Amino acid sequence: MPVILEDTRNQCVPIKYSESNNFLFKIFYYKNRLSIEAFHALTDGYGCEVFLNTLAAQYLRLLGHKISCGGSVLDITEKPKKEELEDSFLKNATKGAKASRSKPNVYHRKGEKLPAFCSHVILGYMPVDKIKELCKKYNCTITEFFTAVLTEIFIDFQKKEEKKQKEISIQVPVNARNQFKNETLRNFSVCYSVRTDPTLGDYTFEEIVRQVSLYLRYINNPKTLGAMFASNIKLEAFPLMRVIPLVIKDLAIGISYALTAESTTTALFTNLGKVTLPADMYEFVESCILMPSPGLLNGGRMGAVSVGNTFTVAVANCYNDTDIEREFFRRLVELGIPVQIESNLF
Amino acid sequence: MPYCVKCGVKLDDFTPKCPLCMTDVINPDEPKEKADSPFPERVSIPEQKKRKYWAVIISVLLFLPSIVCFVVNLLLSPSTPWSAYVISTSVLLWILFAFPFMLKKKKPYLLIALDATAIAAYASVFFILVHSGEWFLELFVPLDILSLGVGLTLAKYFKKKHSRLHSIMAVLGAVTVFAGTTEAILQFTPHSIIFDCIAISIAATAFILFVLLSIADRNKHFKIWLTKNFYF
Repeated sequence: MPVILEDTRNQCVPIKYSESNNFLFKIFYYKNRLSIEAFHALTDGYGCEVFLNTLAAQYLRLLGHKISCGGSVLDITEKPKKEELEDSFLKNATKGAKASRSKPNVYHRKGEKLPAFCSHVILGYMPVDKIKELCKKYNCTITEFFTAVLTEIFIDFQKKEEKKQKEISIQVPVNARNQFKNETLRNFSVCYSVRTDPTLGDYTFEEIVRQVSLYLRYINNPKTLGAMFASNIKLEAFPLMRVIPLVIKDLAIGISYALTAESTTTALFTNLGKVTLPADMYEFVESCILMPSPGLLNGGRMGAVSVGNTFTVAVANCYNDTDIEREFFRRLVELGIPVQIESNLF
Repeated sequence: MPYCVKCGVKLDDFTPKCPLCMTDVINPDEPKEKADSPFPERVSIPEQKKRKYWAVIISVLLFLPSIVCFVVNLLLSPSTPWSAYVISTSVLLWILFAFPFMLKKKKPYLLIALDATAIAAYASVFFILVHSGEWFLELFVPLDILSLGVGLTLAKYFKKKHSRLHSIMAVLGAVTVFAGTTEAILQFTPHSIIFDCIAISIAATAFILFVLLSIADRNKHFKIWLTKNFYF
């Protein structure tokens, strides 16, 4: 049985295989909130969403409510489909294609670090209709809009520091299922790095939105994705990988992460999109929250998801300073979006 | 429901300050019953990886061959104590790489002092076994004491956080002192076969760079130019 625990103030504590009954995820509860924390090798945000919503639906049924299946709620009486269990990376990788990796030397906003395994979590709840109205005005999607807001904030932060200006790179994960019409519940998402070079001149917000929007629309296509899958599975397909001792692989992954992961991006914005539930389940669900791990280097790691008319942005920060969140939510308020804040600071 | 007067965001009824800007929340209509926090009080800190586990692994890897070599040496060639080299190397490597994992807290001064003593003890094994000249007492011990002094001084300096410029200046200063003193020791050692002027060249270069950077540190305009044109 997977481990079910009472929730804690700090999230995304490392999952120990031996302590979670050999499962790579844990389930938490706190008052009327149900949470899941999963190791990313198991699944991505969409997989977690489907699992958690199915679990919540079953919980409501046990309480006596009639909840149908549909959307992200699976029928637990059915056997899993073959498509839900397949490794879509292997299936859709373009053989021989190469995707270029992001290079480091981007701007990082640092500060006073919190103690190990502690993080500041700030949640912002907003109405979806107001956001859509604003996005229509700027002719962009919600992901493009928020990525542009984040980019503008970091350009301003760096300008105030009066150092040699580095590129701003916002990591935007994308659900590859949309491009490949795939139903897998395993990992099937990759990250794009949207880079802006502040040395090219001063940008207006409209210019940033346009640049982000055009870049994401240009790069998000099956050919680029196929090349990225091929780069990702290259190591897995290497014959010697099975033979190399785990201790060496752990060390190598740690070094690789330090060189190529957070150091190549300034911040993260991941948007899970709209959560679709059965019609009879909406009355029981107030909101959904997607929280990325706090990270080790970057303070601005944001996750967004919407259910009904509530759009939630969760910011997990490994630093004590809240200037990134402050500027982010203040910009939204200035643009006319009412924001309600909750946090684990008090 | 209160709002933050600076950020303009809505806040929970119970929040004493705005989480974004830490401005106090004054809510004249404060509810009599305080609402529950959206997050629990309990913080979960996982147990740190067992550092002693690594100390045990390294110890086994080092001492097993030492024991084997000692037994073989004792049985096959007791007159030639060659296993002393293997055992002393294992002890040195254990002190350098395994002992730090035994400590619960970081103790840089203890580790530096122990490392310097271990290296001196390791060299003394060769001095005792080979009986080759006075190099150990005239050259090695003074250099070892010098390394210990420079290492402890740098550890004390870096205990507090310093700017990148000051950190580089500190390292250059340490290199100047170390190289200059090494040159002095080499000059006064009669049996030294090490070529002259290498240490003094390093000391002079490090000193010139140290002086340039300290001038830059005092010159506000030069410092601004440095930060604008390099990634300082």
